Amino acid sequence: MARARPAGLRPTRGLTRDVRPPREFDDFYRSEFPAVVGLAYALSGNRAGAEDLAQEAFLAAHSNWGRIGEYDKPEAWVRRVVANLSVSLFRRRIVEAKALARLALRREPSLSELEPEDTAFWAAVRSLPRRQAQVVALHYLEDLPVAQVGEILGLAEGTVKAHLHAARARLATRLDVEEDER
Amino acid sequence: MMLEERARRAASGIHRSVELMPSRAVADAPGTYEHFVRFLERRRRNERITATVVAMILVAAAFGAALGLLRGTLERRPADTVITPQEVGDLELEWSVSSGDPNAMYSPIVIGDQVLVTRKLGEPTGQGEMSGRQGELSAYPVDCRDPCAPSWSATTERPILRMAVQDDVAYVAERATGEPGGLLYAFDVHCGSDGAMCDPLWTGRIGAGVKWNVLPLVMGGKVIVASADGVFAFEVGCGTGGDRCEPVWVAHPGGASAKPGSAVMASMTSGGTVYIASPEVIAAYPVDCEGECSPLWSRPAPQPAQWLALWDDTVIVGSMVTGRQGTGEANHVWALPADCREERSCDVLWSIETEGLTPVTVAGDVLYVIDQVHDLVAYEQPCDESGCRVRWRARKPLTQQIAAEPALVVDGVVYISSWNGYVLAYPVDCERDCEPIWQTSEAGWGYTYVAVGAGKVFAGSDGIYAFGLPAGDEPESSSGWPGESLPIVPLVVAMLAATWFLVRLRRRSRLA
Repeated sequence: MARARPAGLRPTRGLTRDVRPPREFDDFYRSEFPAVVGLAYALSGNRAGAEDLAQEAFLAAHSNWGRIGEYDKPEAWVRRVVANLSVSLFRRRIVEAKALARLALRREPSLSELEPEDTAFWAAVRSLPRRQAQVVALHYLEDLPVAQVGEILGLAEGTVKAHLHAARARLATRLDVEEDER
Repeated sequence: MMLEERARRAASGIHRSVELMPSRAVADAPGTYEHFVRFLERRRRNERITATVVAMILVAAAFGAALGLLRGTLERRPADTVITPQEVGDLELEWSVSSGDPNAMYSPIVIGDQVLVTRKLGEPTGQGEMSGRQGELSAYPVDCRDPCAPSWSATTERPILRMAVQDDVAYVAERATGEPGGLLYAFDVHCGSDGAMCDPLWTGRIGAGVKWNVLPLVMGGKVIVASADGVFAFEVGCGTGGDRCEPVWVAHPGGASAKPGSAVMASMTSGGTVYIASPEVIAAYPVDCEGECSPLWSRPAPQPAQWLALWDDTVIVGSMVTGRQGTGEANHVWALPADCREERSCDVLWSIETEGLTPVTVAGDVLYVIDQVHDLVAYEQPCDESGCRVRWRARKPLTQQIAAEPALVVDGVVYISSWNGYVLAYPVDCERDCEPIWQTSEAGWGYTYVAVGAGKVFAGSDGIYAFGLPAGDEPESSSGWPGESLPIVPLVVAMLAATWFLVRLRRRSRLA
């Protein structure tokens, strides 16, 4: 079955099959990697594994760059991929296994540890239902408006609002803080 | 603290952690584009290795599956099942049907998934056990279960005993006495179901005096029956709607010199020749004869002959001398040349003296002789004037007589039966004094016939008795689900490997 192209994405470019990706992908990777690895970190909670998740997302983009590169916003696509990868239980297990292997080889994670309070916040986010966690991470981490979060996740604006509302209520309870008036 | 503020602070923590990644400042360190390219190359190399390993597993599994199928095909016979010498000792009575009449003389033969049985029907009304009796041919499923009933039956006006089957047509000959003689019947072995009564495809008159061990012979498109009135050959397809057929040729082995009532005692076909034995002569006729048929050769019988077999180029004749006790004359197994034409010698090649009756069977390179004193003797070449080398003798385990029937040799097992409900089995590769590897006394009451097929042993006496292997010990069957012989483990491994590989290939496109 044909997959619907994310809203607002317009094809413009082609893809070569060289091992070294074309220059455009190079630029894309360099500009988007920090945000993507941050999203992976927030949603997986795994310092060592977040980079692997980001690499996987970019690998998927590279493999389909002929199509992805023609979108208006390929960065939205790669965020959706990493958001899905990061909340996948199966993927988490693999990432944790790789992280353990890395620790065994005495390789330090590239990402530094978070403050305990921040760690607790993201742990509470990860305890939310999958969609709510993705919505919260995208909304707060990159300060994206509800419409743009919906565009990335392929959800209607109203759905994003509902998820965000439910997530806030649960987070407020779990973190014992007051929910903002919105 | 408000939730919003807490969230902003947590997001800043993530940003700070990413900003501090060492890769940001070091070339080819984690997080750099060069690092990603190396990651990409490594991933592609791993995928090539994985594809190679999966391909090797698939090839190995396919090879294993093909090997398993080939082995299964080679191990199984195409149209039957096998009871090996190792399994025969496990045979147990599975089902039976009994008439309660020890003179009924049920005689079975296995055809596909049916066991066809002839028997005498009714009670004798005059002198002789045949008078007033009728015959019945019935077909039972080989896996008949209580209440076991025939799929179809057919009756004949006079008794019938034993039959020949070829191309799904069963031929039975009536054992009539006096005029107008009996009939040869041809029945379609699939003529009915649910207990239907069948009519014959055709019949042919064959005279009177068909002896008890003479059964129809089918060869070269002819069905041939010998009686006291001569030898009668019919076309196998001479009728379909109950027609009365005329013989295409007839022969009178005794000729003008034949004594009155000098019946043909045995017959056999091989290589386009039909061999006939009567008390006076041994004669050979071409199967494709016409009209009044002259023999290819004939010679006086060395003794009244009762059984015939062919062993390479030798006709084996088993004799039955009546009144032996009074004359002191012993029975013999005689060996004659199979072809005495054109003045070739028809002299006896060798003979073996026996102490009882002499039913003979040849299987492989072995001649089996039922000697009612020794029970069963297996002879092998070389043979000379003094007889043949004894390969093994079966020890007599019973006090009762062994039936005067040629031994039945199937799948490395020699089966014999008794006069009263016993069946015994010996391995063909026995040595010297041979003990039975299986015997049963559960084969009913009366003179006992034995047949083997469809993974079972059938004994006929006052009824039909089916012996099979216990559940879980059944011989391999070629008629069941073909998947039972498939090597499941390698196929499952191959399917899992292929599925995993396909899932892996498609996973990335599904992520978004």
